[in-house]
Amino acid sequence: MNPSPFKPKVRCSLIGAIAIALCTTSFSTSVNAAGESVVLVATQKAGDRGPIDGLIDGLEQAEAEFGVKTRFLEALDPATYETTLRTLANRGTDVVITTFFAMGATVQALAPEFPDTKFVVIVAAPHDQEVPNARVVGYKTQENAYLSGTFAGYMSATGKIAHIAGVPLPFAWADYNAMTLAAEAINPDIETSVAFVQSFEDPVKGREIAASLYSQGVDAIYTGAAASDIGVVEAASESGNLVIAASPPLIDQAPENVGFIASFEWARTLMIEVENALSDEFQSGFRLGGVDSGEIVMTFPDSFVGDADRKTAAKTATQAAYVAMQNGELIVPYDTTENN
Amino acid sequence: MELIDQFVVTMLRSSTPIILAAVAGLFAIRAGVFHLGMEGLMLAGAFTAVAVGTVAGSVWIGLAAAIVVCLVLSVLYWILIDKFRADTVIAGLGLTALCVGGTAFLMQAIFNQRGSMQSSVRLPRPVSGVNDGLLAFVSELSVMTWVLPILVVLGWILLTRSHLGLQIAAVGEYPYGAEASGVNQSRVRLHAILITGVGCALAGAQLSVGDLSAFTENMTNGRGFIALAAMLFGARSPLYTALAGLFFGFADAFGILIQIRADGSIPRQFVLMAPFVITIVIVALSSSIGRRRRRF
Repeated sequence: MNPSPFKPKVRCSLIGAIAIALCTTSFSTSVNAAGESVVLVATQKAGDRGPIDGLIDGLEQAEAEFGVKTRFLEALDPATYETTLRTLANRGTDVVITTFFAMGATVQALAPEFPDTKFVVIVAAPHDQEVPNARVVGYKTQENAYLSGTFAGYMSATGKIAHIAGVPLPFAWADYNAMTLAAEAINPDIETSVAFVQSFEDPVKGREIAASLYSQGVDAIYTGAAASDIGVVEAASESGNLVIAASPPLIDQAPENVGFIASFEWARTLMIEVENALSDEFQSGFRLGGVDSGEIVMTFPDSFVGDADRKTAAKTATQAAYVAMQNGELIVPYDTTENN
Repeated sequence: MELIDQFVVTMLRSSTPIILAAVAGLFAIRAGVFHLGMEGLMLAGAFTAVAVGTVAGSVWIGLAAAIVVCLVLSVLYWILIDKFRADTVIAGLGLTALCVGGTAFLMQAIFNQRGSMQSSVRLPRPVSGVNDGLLAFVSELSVMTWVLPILVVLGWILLTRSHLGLQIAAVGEYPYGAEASGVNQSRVRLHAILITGVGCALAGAQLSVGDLSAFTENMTNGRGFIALAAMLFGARSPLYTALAGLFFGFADAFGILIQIRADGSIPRQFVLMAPFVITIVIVALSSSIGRRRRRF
């Protein structure tokens, strides 16, 4: 008679699995004992040459600067958001930093259960109620758009510029309106338009939209459609037109056509938030990052080929607008009106 | 370029990968295999064309490698459904999931790239560098779009006028009859699935080195499933399926056109949903007409 309900091989496997689980648990405990642990949970894939890659850079800087233990995770399926955050909090993670709008509600619901863990959501709507151990960060995206509109307004020879966005969310309309406001301040007769890829991950469609716009006389496009931007930049390269993007690595794809980049300093945002989370005087609530906090920076690629006079004028005007924003002399409205 | 020219170019470019995958997918579906792995095969083809093409410095080597990889994956799929009797739908979804994860993993493991990678090669454009006149209209089309009509006709001949096509139809429609007349069902299904694999490889390569010169994770974005819809919409006929694929390209181009021409008189939400509404109406109408024809 066999005393165990399991066969020997199955028994060995079970013992092995339990041993591995015990080892994992003790490792986790030692990590917490050695120093504060910071985990970044991204809801989009790494390798986007944009926000997630920037935040990963920030995580590495935080590890070097503050001596914290860091870890990067992807939670791409919304059904796993709560489980992922709950598991991390249960394991005693000190700081959980996560991304984008859909995580906002999850953190609001979950954070009160784990007062010893600090939660940070980067780019989300403010929480309805104050959560003492949670902070939400947003960006003044309209400032990027205003700077891009200034540059495009000066560079456009045809007087037609456009904005390509992912999906028609309020911030996309605010970006379009800010771009239009800036461009019309330079050229009151300028024609602006907006088009939506309807996806943040479809570069093929992004390319088609951009090619259609360029073929209709648009000679400058400001794109903010995440991974779809790759297609927009490709269309600019093929047609020899100007594209303004929000992610510096895109310069490598079309060095002669990417004329200006107004990008978020995702790494700096992460550093600011890690510092705040580790501080004894943790500040919860909502914070907006922008030009004034150094979280929006400009890049003027030298490789961009364009009319020299226009380039000089565009760069000077854009830099002036940036300084005005830094000093608080220029405040760009967050206008989500659905124009066009 | 005139707006109508750009519209036609967009329609042709958007429909090329769908038609390629759909016409090739007909072989599998006619053999009785509802191949949900087409999306994954397209993705594998897109990745391999960029990866191997860039390393070898030749788009043709990249294209050949894409075909080889898709053939290998197709054999794997055939073994699962034919030898291990796996459900075709579940095995197909599994194949797609494998390709989604596998391409992302290999991109990072081999090239140390995450999310996207650039291609140094791309499919030639038979007519290029022309900015004015009639030729400007077609100068943006890759060689794949040019040979597409030939491939569709070839597919039609293979499916309806060849011995293999008749065997495929027999296996799909009346397997017991085919077995009784000495047809090796397993081998015929393998041939059908392999042809589907080749078509998906070409469709994927068209996306990554034809439309773009880059691979991004999950860049097929559901086009493999749209190809399945085109097969059903096209009543499983190669020529009608090609027309259905062209229609999906038309809907895509129409969506872009009306966005660009929108003057604010129509709310943006209606503009964005217009192509989908048109698709539903046309599919419903064609289905209704098809039913009436069968009744009489």
